[in-house]
Amino acid sequence: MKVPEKWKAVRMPPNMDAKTDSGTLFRDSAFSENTVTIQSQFEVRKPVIPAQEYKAFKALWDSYTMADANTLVFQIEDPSVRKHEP
Amino acid sequence: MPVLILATTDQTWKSKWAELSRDFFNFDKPGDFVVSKTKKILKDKISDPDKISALRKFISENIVSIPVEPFRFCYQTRDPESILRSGYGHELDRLKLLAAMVEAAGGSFSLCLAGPSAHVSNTVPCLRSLPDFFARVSLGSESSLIHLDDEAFSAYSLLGKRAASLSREKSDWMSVPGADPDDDQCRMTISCELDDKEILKGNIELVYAGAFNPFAKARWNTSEWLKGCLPEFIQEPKILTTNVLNLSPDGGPSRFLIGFEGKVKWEELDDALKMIVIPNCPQGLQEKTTSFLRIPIGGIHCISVCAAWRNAFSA
Repeated sequence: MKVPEKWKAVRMPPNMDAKTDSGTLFRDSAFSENTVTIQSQFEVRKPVIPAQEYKAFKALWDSYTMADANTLVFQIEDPSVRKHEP
Repeated sequence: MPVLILATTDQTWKSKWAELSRDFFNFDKPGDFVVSKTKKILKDKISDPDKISALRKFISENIVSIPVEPFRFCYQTRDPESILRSGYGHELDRLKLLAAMVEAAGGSFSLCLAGPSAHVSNTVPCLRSLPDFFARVSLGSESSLIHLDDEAFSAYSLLGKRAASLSREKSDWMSVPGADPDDDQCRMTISCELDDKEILKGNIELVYAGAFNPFAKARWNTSEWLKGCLPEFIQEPKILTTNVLNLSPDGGPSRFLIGFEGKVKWEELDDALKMIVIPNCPQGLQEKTTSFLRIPIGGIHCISVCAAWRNAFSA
């Protein structure tokens, strides 16, 4: 996502690179030259998650779906200027 | 027995081929590296047929053909220079390089498909039923039909040929390392730009891959996703363009490219801070996968998502 100049991403989804026996999670976020780039991948590697692996898998999934992973916050350098624009 | 359908006068086919060409070969002008290499190849070639033959031969012998990689479904192609420098590419990569070289030589190029005669009546060209690629190349007064790895250019070269190089039979999928036909993958890519008036404009690409994903369901899933997710972060979203590429009507990769525009729905934290919730990636298409796992799919939020549901339910 490209944003206007004077916009800055101050909060982005946290980077992750985690793996369990049943799944993998990768996420990479970056802000550069007014562009936010987020790449993420969740992979389920087993057709059935065994009970002993479920806890770790659930933690992985929660990391992927937690509220923090969903939001972007932008800061506008000089909002007063923007507000008075016609 | 395979039949060549290039000779058809059917406008539907012609327009579909044009769409395919646009989808896969949408590069700008050939770069300097491709142009200089083309000049070198054609240096001592005088006649147009010789030039076409030389380009075909160069790619056939120097660009190694590779299978489609697991996460490059729907034949996403690389840029011609990258293909030339690396010396490898899948079928469409190699044809894309040919297209660039033909253009560098001042000619024109279009992509064509051919396949078993039983599938010629299909209204939509698809790689599964029409699994052989051809190129119509025009250079000067010469116009040729080219199959990269066949010496003979005529339609007769197809007689008796097994048109199965790209068919999506399970055994073919299994031959590609890491590509299981039972995969149920969905990939979403959003590329967008926000302007000073906070209007967000861009494209959403959704790709469903897996040998047994039905197109009808991919279409429905995409439609529901658009209805549900776009209004969550855009006010009164407008769909500007849609491009549906269905490679296999009875199952397999489907790609949807949707152009959109609308004003962003922010949560204003204060005068200077604005928060946006990024839309979900659609889930895979195989119901039993997600219903069995009982995972709250609605919780996925990401801008560029590659959600892979791999080996979810192999037989």
